[in-house]
Amino acid sequence: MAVQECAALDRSTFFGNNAGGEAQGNQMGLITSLKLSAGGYSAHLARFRHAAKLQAICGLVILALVSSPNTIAAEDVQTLLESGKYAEAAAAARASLDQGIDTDHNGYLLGEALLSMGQLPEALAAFEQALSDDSDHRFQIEVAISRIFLLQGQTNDASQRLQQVLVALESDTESLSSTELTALADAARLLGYDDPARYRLALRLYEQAIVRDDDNLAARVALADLLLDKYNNTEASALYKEVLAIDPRYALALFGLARSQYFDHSRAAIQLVRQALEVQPSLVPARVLLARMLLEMEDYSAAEEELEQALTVNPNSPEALTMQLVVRYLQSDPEGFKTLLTRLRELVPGYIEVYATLAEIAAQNRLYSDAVSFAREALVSRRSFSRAHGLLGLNLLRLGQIDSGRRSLEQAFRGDPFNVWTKNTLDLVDRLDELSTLRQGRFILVAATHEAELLAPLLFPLAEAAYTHFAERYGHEPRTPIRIEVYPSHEDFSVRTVGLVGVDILGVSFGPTVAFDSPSVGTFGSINWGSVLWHELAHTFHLSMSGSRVPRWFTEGLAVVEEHRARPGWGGDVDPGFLEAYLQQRLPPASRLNEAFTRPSYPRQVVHAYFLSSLLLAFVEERYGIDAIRSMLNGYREGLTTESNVSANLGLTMSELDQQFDTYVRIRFAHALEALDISLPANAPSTAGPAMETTKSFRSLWRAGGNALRAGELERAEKLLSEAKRQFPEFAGAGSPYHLLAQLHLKRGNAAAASTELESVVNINADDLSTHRKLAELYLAENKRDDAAQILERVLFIDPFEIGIREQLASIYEAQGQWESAVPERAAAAMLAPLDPAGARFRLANALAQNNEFSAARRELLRALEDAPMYDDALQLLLDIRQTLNQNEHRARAVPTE
Amino acid sequence: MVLPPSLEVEVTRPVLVFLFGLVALSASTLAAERDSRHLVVVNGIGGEAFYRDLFHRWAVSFMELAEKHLNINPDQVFYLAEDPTRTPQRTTSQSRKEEIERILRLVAESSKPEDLIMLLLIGHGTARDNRILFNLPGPDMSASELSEWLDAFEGRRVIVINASSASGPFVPTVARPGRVVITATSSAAENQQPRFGGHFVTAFAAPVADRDKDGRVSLLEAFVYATGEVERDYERENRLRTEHALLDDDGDGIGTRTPGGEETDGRVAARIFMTPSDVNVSTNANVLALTVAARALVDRIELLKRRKQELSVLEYETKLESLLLQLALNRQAYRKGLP
Ligand SMILES: [Zn+2]
Repeated sequence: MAVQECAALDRSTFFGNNAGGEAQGNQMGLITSLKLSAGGYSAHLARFRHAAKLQAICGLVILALVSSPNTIAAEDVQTLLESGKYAEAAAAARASLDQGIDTDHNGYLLGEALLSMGQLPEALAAFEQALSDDSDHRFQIEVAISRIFLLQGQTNDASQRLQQVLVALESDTESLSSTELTALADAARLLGYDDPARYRLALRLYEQAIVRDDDNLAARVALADLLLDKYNNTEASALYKEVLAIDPRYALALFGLARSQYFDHSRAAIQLVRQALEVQPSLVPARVLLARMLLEMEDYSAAEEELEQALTVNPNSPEALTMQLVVRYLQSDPEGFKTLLTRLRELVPGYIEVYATLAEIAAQNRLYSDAVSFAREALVSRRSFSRAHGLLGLNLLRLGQIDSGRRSLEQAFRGDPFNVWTKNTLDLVDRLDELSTLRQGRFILVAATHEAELLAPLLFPLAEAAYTHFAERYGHEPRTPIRIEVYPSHEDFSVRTVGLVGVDILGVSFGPTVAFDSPSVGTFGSINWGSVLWHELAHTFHLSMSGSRVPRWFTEGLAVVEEHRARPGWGGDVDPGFLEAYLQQRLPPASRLNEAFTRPSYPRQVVHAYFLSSLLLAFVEERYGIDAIRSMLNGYREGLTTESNVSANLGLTMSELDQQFDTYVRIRFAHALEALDISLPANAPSTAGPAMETTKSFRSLWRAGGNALRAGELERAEKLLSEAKRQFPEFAGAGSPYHLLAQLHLKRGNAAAASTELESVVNINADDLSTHRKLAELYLAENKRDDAAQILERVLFIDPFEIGIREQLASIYEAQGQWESAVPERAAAAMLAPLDPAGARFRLANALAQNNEFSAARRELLRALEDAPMYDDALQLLLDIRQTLNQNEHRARAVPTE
Repeated sequence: MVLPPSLEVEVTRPVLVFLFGLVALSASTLAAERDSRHLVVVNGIGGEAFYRDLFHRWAVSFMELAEKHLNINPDQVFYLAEDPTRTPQRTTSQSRKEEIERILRLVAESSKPEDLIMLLLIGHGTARDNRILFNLPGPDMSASELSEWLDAFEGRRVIVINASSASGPFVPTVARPGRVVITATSSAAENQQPRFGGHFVTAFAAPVADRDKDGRVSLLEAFVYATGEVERDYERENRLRTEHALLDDDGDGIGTRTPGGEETDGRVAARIFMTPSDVNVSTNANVLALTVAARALVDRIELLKRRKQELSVLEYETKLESLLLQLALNRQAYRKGLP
């Protein structure tokens, strides 16, 4: 299917009525912001409005309440409302209404205040009472009433009303105020649900509202909200910042920026949302977002506290109730979930976002089939709910249901052409069609055609071995077949994982489907794809066992443990950076590990978190055995929190776990930790003077050793590097002491000693392609063919597509008469676009013939000779094979059939 | 079993090959074949020591290969070096523009129609004011100057290989019917020092370059081999490829990156060999007959390949195998017949 171009909602469209619209748009944007920054007056005014003025108004309110004749102006009531003093605003508005002052404006404000406190019927009454044709606030009131209708599930009434509001656009809009334009924009935006073209209209109207009154911060924030909802985070974030430059304490902008950072998986989100709440403690949506972030960190009690506070402000807040529902859901409390859901549905039957949010959070917690059910539930309530179609499609794809997933995504895209995720995923699904699908045993391999054939002989046996191993280790067998997608482009792979993780990753397990970058991609340098596959399949087991309720840190740590146990060098390793971060307490304790995964606080924190989690799981297994781990996975299935799971299975409180684990890490890396001088910055200049050396810290020894080696002072280098290696033998990352010592030995011509160093590297670091190759080369030079073959076989799990490796391996096997092993390598070489295709086919035919596969050999020879008929060696082999085949046929005929 | 020579199939192959074979055959002495090929190697300015050495190495190894492996008469190998003092016994002259012109005229006068003349340019190229230049000691040589000098080679087969950077624009200027033009890069923008030349000079001695395994490396095979190696170099080093060699042999001035196959370019280059044809190795009548028969079989295989789509896999393979087995026996007999 060819999907139409994805629409982009950006501000340039407003100005984009001729060629070069974008540039013009930017220019106009610039003018607007110049006006703003130059406008010291309006900026000052705004700041005044939201700080000093507020205090003054509060005084007035108290005064008004005490002595009723002194009512306050509607503008001041509005300020109260905007600053979240809903009860005060309602009281003040009521007082004015009682006096018959400014009834439409005060009536509107009363309605908004009541709405913010969740009093829907009362709010509706107030709005209806305030409604009159000549009111300045008619549009705002109409939109507010429509919003209530929408919550109540009266969708048709709401859209009729909103359409009616937009009729105003048919006459002259010049006379409309900025606030009115904002209300019209709100109306257009609400209609966008069913007609995405309305979003563009909304955008234009917000822009006009801003132009009309650049002091209208609410319009700016509303515009930013729209952009963010339509996935244009760049412009949204810029707008929020623009507003905050004018008024740093504008709560809605702080909250908006928090959402924008949340969208980007940035850790700043939590700080910003707290800031917004500091300014305006009654900002319910901000509390709800904070609660959501706390849930992601597995801090259930703190999340619930936030929700309590939100519900104090607005006991009927759909968002807060939804998040409470999420808590029930994640804590496996089906009773509580049902009760609360019923209540929410009765209260706001039109609030279908509840299912979308549930679907989203289910997917974030890898509960993809639940996500599918929630999305379907939303669609029962509203067929045209694009967001639900999108969530349904994405999660069906994750479950491996490609065709139905595609259909849902197509529907989502028709309803919301701004959604780049939908668009990208649809494109991806189209490209999936171009990939080959091979099935063998318990697995289905989906990969680029030419890669699938090369991978299959390596991948299927490894996957089967993993399954058998895990099935025994965990006493559990996930459903098969398991789909393995190997992406020939990292972009496609990223689309596959969109919205799930904030960092760039190279493999993922959705349970029944695992996916990773093809080894031909190379985005992250050389990677052992065998270990990646093993890791992802481990996840598949954990997800299946725990009903997908295992927390991320647990399954990541355990998957890395599995890698470590599987083959030498597999799985992430410790490096100085990790231990330094550990010592500097830049890593969370065991009890809060999820934080590092969901909101990393520094770039490498996720990488460090993987390793730290693996240590934690290794600690648990060493102390309590695999049974405890199995039992914890089952515990998660039953809905236990980590805290109760730890207590039930390890008999520890969380703080005891933190303490014991810390001790474990410090003992396990005692040598290295001692040798790391964290008082020095990690990138201290390499002044390899004697002063540095006397510190005897690992880094200074390492550095000084490297310098000595470069300077040709081999003896000194050897001393320094050997000491560094002794201090930190677990470290074999790029340029490690092992690498340097190997160089040193080679300089001395001592190949055997060099191989010993490189052996250590490959046994710790299975991703290091060049060291593997170097080691194989050294072995071959020493005529250690078996050792060389063994290392080259490991190389296939890093780079299966390098013809030189295949040919090298084949030659070794052939020299040893291992024709059966030589055949697949020759076959791979023939597939890998050799410079000499006929020669490669001939060598394959030869290996086949030697392995007594004469018919296959004949066929390869025919292919070789087809293009190179004068190939004497091939012709001779063909003659020989024909003779053998004839003899065999003759013999077969001579044997009487049974 | 050896089949009698079948003459009717000869017409299915481009006449050129057959005629070429017969011409060689009737001339029929090794010396004549040797003398029909001429090589001119020009080294431009190296600039840095690294390139001076590299270019010199390429030039010398190609000349050695030409004399020993390709059996070209050393008297017909000319070397115009940047620094003539480096290998005086090998060097004809310094690679100044007027010297190149002089040597080319000399070769033109001493060569005969149908002779093969290969001009190999190794060095740096630049594009200046729309002029595409090959950098020499003294004034540089432009593509149009070279093209003019080559006009003296009317009736001969001329191969120009410009292995310099920014050499692509030589193709439209130098190309003519009867000339094969190869450049290391596609355009003036590809101005990084290319690696093509290094691989090209080794191609004629590399067994893997002989894709059709007929025992000789054609000019096309050398090109394919060199570009394949270039591609691999860049892949191995994970660098963006900054050179795409071109070949033009149909004289239209539009070079092709992937000659052979469906392309018009490559058809002539596929039939040009720097080595003498094996027919000349022996004048034995039986061997000659076997050779003619082998060619006929190869032609029948070509015919069969064109019918591949019409036939079932089984039918095709059976027929193909039968022809190949005949060819295999022919080659056995041929090898026995050699002195
Ligand atoms: Zn993982």
